[in-house]
Amino acid sequence: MVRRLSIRAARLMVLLAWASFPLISGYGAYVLGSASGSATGWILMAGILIGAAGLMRLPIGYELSAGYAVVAALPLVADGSGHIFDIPGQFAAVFVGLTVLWIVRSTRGDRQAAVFGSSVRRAAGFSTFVLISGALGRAAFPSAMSGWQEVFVFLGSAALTFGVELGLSRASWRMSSSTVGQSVPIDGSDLAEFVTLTAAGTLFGLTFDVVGWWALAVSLLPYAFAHGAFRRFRAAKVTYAQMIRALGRLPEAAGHSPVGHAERCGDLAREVGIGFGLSFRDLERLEYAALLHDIGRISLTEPAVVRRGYTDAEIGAWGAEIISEARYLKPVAEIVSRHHEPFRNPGEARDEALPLACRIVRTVSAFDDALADTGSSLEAMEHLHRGSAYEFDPAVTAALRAVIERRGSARTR
Amino acid sequence: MSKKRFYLGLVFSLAGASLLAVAAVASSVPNWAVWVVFSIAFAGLELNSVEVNDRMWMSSSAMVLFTAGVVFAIDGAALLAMVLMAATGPFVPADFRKRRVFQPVANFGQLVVSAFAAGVVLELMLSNWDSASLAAPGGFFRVAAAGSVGAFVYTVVNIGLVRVAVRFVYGNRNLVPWSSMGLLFGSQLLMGLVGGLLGGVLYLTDNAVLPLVLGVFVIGHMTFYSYSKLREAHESTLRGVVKTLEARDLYTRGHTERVAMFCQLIGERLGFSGTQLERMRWAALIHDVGKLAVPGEIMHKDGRLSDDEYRLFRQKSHSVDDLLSEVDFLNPMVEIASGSHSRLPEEDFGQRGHSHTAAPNLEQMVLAVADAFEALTSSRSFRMAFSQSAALAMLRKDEMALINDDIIDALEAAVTERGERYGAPDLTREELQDAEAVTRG
Repeated sequence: MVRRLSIRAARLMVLLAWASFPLISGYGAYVLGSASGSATGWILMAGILIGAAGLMRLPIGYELSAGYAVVAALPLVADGSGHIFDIPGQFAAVFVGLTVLWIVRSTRGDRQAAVFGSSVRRAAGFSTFVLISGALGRAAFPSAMSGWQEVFVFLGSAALTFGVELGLSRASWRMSSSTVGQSVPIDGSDLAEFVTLTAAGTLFGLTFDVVGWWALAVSLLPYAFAHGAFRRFRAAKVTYAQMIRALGRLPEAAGHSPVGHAERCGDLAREVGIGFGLSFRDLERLEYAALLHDIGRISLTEPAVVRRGYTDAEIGAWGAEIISEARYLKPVAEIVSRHHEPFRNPGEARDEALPLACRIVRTVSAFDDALADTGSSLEAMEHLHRGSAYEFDPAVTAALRAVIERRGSARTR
Repeated sequence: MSKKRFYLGLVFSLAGASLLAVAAVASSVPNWAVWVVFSIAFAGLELNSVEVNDRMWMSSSAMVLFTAGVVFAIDGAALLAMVLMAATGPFVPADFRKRRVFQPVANFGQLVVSAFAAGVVLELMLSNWDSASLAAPGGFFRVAAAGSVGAFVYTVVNIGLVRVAVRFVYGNRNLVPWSSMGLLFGSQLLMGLVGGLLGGVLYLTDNAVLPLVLGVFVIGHMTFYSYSKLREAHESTLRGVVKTLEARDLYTRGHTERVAMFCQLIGERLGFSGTQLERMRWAALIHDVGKLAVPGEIMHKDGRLSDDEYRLFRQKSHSVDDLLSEVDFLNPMVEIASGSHSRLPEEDFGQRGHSHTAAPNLEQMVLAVADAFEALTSSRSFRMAFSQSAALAMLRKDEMALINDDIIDALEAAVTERGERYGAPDLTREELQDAEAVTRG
């Protein structure tokens, strides 16, 4: 579980990014205006490349830009007479790139607010890379660098820049988490994509003055391989999520649970989990567990079972048995096997080991059942409040309440 | 079969060993320190190859092989360096632990022969070579060309040898070793090209570019690995559900697995591609999930269903098919599975399938035959199992004539070849009368 970013720190970070935006673009424009003829040509070309790369949809990155590949190459690109871009030149290229992106996205009809927001983010991220790689290079190796030293500088700037991207993404997510259906901020799983992008750029920069435009092939071919892998992985993830959804609805198709219960639980659990600041992977497990928490009910089609009677614990155990057939879903199976357990039994100490996800699934599922019974989310919430601290975790109930209130007036069925 | 494997292993390993000897004589000696670094990388990648597709393994090892090839070709040592590297690749610890001999020995021969062919190409194309000619205009193009031609030869020889081995050992002309040969071919070419370019770059610059390229490749490789894990998860997840569903009915326990097996047998006979076989396996896996939604009293009814009950049965099971077809990747499988139901002789339910105007495709018919054959040769609540020959005869006689006799022939041939029999034993008239007498007491 990731610690929550304090709202004050989030505001500060976002404010810094917005304040630096006019500075960065003003400086870039100034450099572009005062550059010499041949330098302008290089800057324009790099800028257009940044823009074009920025339009590419990345397979697993949520909010990262392929422009990073070009930005990473800029400090290193050299011809016979030395480095082509000095640090001001790199800023100018970033400025051109952002302008190109802006023009294309505006004419394409994207929402202005979204275009502006992402421009601010890009400006902050790109200039962090430019500044850090420049500063690191100067500070660590004042004389001309060898290839290995450049690789070291690359690693440092990539790590720090990813940190900034991560922080900004979390901060803006934290500030806007009042909206429903928020996407998840970038997290460590985007690191792979980021590293391959910047490494490809650095490779181009390092090899350009030796082999000329062959550097494009040397850097792009390995990236193409990684890109293909990312795409396949992403596609498999999507179909897997679809499959879990479909399987979650099997008990409904068999008439053993209310129609739409699993999907509503999945959505609610996800939103409650976002409220708790769960990481991407934990959110996925939580959502899958909420979708599949009733899967054990397909055993109810067995007449012998129905005749004998069954308990909630058995449903959970059967469900876990079905799910744990897939090793990938082991953590989900653990949640499902315990999702029926109450938060605390009267007169007993609470079980500290009961995972948060179990408590969320139980609360959310009870809410959906109560909603179906009473027809009003207020009544359903009251039901949860009455059971709070025994049946349900008060913290989860409060988080669920926040989600319901955000969703606006009662969403009755 | 084991004799065939023995001969094949012998031939492959002899070929590998003699080419090793030829290389040792013909080629100059590589710089061993550099060679060790390369071969550790090669063996590491080879050990961590990833199953990308049905029975298709992919690894980035070819890239390292060709980088080394180009680097060593400049000293005229490419042949020996590559052949020795290839020789270390196939000896996997897991094989030693399980005392498997055939697989590593055959792989040894196969890799050494392919690497030898590629090494000859590199030596020929990059002879009289030094850094000056590399830096000259067009020099780098020559490296790229050598890398990709070498990779092409390597891949062709490699795949060719695997095909020969599979045909010889399994004696099946139709079995295709990998489902998407194109993907394999393309990726190997790409690896060779990258490897060749990288070798040239390494020669001209310092070694700093190596960690960058390897870093990108390792990340890509790891992603492929997670991808293949996720693919396994798809199947095992569905398996869990199917197992639970079958548990409810004593009569159908194991039905799905057997139908999947019959589909596999028929498919192999008919020369299905790996992708097709995989699709058939999936379709078999889901073809009865629809029963889940069918009320227990219909499911377990003694005797045949009335028309209304049958209609309800179909309607309910179709609702589950609709659910599953919302999964993009299951779409073609659901198509096969639900299409196969309507063309069954419907022996189980005493009904004819509703007539569809569209002609059933081959895959649907194969699943239908496998399903019907399995159903006829196992007992049901209202009848005993038929014997194998009776079941086959009933399938042949099917009045709808939608089912292609080739499929039934393929099934019969495959089952006979495996020396297996399904269903009740065939009884002569006298034996039958004896049996009746016994049951009457």
